[in-house]
Amino acid sequence: MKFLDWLGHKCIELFFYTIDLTCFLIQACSIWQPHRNVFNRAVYSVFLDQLILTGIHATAIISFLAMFAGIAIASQLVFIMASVTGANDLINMLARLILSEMGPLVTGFVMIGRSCSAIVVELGHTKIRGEIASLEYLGIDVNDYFVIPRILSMLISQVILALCFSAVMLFFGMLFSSLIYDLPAQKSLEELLSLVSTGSLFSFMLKNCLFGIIIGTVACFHGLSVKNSPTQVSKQMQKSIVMSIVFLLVTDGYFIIFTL
Amino acid sequence: MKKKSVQASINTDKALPHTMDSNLKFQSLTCQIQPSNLTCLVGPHRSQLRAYLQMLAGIAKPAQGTVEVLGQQVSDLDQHAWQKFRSQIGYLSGTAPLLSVEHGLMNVMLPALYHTNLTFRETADKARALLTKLNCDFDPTAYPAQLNSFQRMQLTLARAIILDPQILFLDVPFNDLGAKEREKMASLLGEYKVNRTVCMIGGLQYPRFLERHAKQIIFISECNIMSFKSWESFNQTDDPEIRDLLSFL
Repeated sequence: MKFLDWLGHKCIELFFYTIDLTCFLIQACSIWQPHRNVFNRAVYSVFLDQLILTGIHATAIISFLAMFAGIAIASQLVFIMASVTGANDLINMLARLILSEMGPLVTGFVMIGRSCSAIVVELGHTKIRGEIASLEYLGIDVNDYFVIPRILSMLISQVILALCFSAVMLFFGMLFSSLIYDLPAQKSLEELLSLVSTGSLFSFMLKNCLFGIIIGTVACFHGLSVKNSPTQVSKQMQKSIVMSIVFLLVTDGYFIIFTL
Repeated sequence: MKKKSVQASINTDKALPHTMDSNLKFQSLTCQIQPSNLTCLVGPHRSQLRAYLQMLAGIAKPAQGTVEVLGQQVSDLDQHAWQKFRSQIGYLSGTAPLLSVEHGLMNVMLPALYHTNLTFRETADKARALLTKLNCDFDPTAYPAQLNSFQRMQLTLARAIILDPQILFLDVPFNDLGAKEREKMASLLGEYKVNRTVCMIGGLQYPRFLERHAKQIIFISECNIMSFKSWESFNQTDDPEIRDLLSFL
């Protein structure tokens, strides 16, 4: 009975959390009204800074991970599938596994560990020190200056890094397989690319856009939820990481159901 | 010129600030902050004074009554109007710090970049010129953590006035400053208050500044709100609450 109580309590908490998060995102986006200059120079400057921090600086680690994941996973798959079912199934499986699943998910996890936590810590400390309040006194909107640039840069970084991850993983997977198992890597790669339809590309982009929005929104929401104690920063950071992973997996599950 | 000074006045009618979590009693405030002059709010409770100052500055809407700043009712402003309104008002806070992740120059440029259509270079030139006027002899690209409290206050003043506001609010401008630095700060504020309506709290941290520049002193306590025309008349009053406050100086 106690377990059911706990479960019910957690479900209600998650429901209200989702509502809070959605309201936070809608409120942040509501600054984009017709009278407003969407990218004023102050906001644009923050957006570029964030894009460099979350996107460009993460390219090396994403490529490095993709290289090893490509060698470890793709090459194993190539070998197993080639010996069991043949090349056609192998290409299908690679397309589904790497392009639809591994690329967005691994990139999402890297973004959570690397950028989501950084945003929470940065915003949390900025808020504790009263720096956000002093900007509000100058008429600078918190959502405009802090939230929207971070969500946008997270969205763009997630899409580009996932593309980069998938490409590098496929390239190294195929390269390694052709070297070790003597498989026609070029032919397999060409077949794989021919499988990439507009629909699958749209699905890939949509999934990554959603992942980016989720990670960015959760990070900003928790960063600005810090009240007045430094200990809350680490608590909010932990919460943001857990909730980002939960929402990422739920969204991924949703896509699996509708694309299978 | 006359029109500008009329616009830059602040009028309140039975205005009561939001008390937040304070246990203090608040009295409703009816007054006119004189245009082109310095008005100082003094009293025994800093948090109470700050609540009144933020209400007069339009940061917090009044819980009751009306506050009219620059000819606009603060309560009637929507989000867009409020942002535009804020760009016409400078707010210098000795306690609310600069943005630590941006360097000094960027902190000064920020309001101009946000509220105007000036290019990045034009804004940077404007900010550099302002910093030179304010006698900032340090590297403006240093981060706030690398500067001392007076240098940070110079940057805060530059950030407050970069949009050339008609009204300037000073929230404890002498906070965390040594004796010599207070004198320097008073000299800068004296220079930049000319032709501006200035309203401040924390003036009792440096009474000489009030003695020189204040044209109106509003004493606010839990029981009383009293207005004086100068520091001298405030200093000579026999009111026991004021005598008690002055005895701590």
